[in-house]
Amino acid sequence: MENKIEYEIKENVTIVYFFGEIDSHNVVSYRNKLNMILALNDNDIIFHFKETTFIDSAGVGLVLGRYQQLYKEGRHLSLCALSQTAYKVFELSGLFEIMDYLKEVNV
Amino acid sequence: MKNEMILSFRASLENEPFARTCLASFIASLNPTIDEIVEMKTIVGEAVSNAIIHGYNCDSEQTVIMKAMIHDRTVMVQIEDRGQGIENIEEAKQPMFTSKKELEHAGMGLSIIEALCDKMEIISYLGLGTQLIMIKEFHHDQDRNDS
Ligand SMILES: Nc1ncnc2c1ncn2[C@@H]1O[C@H](COP(=O)(O)OP(=O)(O)OP(=O)(O)O)[C@@H](O)[C@H]1O
Ligand SMILES: [Mg+2]
Repeated sequence: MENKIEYEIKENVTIVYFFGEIDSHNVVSYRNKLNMILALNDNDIIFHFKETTFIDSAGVGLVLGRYQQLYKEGRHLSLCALSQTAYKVFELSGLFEIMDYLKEVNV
Repeated sequence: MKNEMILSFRASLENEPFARTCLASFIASLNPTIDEIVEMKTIVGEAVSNAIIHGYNCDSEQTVIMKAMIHDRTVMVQIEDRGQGIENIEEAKQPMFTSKKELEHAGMGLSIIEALCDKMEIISYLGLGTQLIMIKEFHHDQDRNDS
């Protein structure tokens, strides 16, 4: 599967879909792309991982960095549809103590 | 069953997906579950990216060595760099400790490895390099059917 990001703007939430793998090799380009998407409006954000096959600590850093950025602007970030291992990795990193987890999106 | 492999590759992050996928196919004979494969890829990816990013500061002229051994249903993986070494191993293992905060590192790599494998050991000398040894047990097929 190709590694890529796509997004969909709903009324006041933007859903970002991650396809393929998120690792230290591609987080740099993802960070730039996400910053562009986040700057489009002041929507709350959902990161959707249903089509994500691999996430490591670089992905944790990517999510945390965006969370901190959004938090400063009073915007909300939720995470959705993580695989079993990715969920473990995010839980271990304490992400669910500061972000909401959704099993699926219903907007 | 016994099996062994050695792989050496340039310290470029481009090679990280290659290294973790290579190990995933090496262990295919154990008939692992999808979650076991992803866990294995994750720990190898963390170890390899650490060797490249911290050991070698992303100098792709350098070489990372990956060795793996299968003995029955136990897999041992060793990732080795001849890079800068770790000054304080106990500190490095702390969750959220990173020496590269400015690059958005969460400092979670070693904690993730510890959580996803059965045993992790670090041998490191300043100026000489680092060896990370990880051991993971794979469950028997019949155990899986029982549960
Ligand atoms: N192979 C290595 N050579 C030198 N230093 C290392 C090596 N592996 C780890 N370290 C040191 O240990 C620290 C912690 O590593 P860990 O993987 O937990 O976090 P990180 O790589 O900094 O961040 P993250 O993995 O979350 O992106 C690193 O910041 C680095 O200082
Ligand atoms: Mg790391």
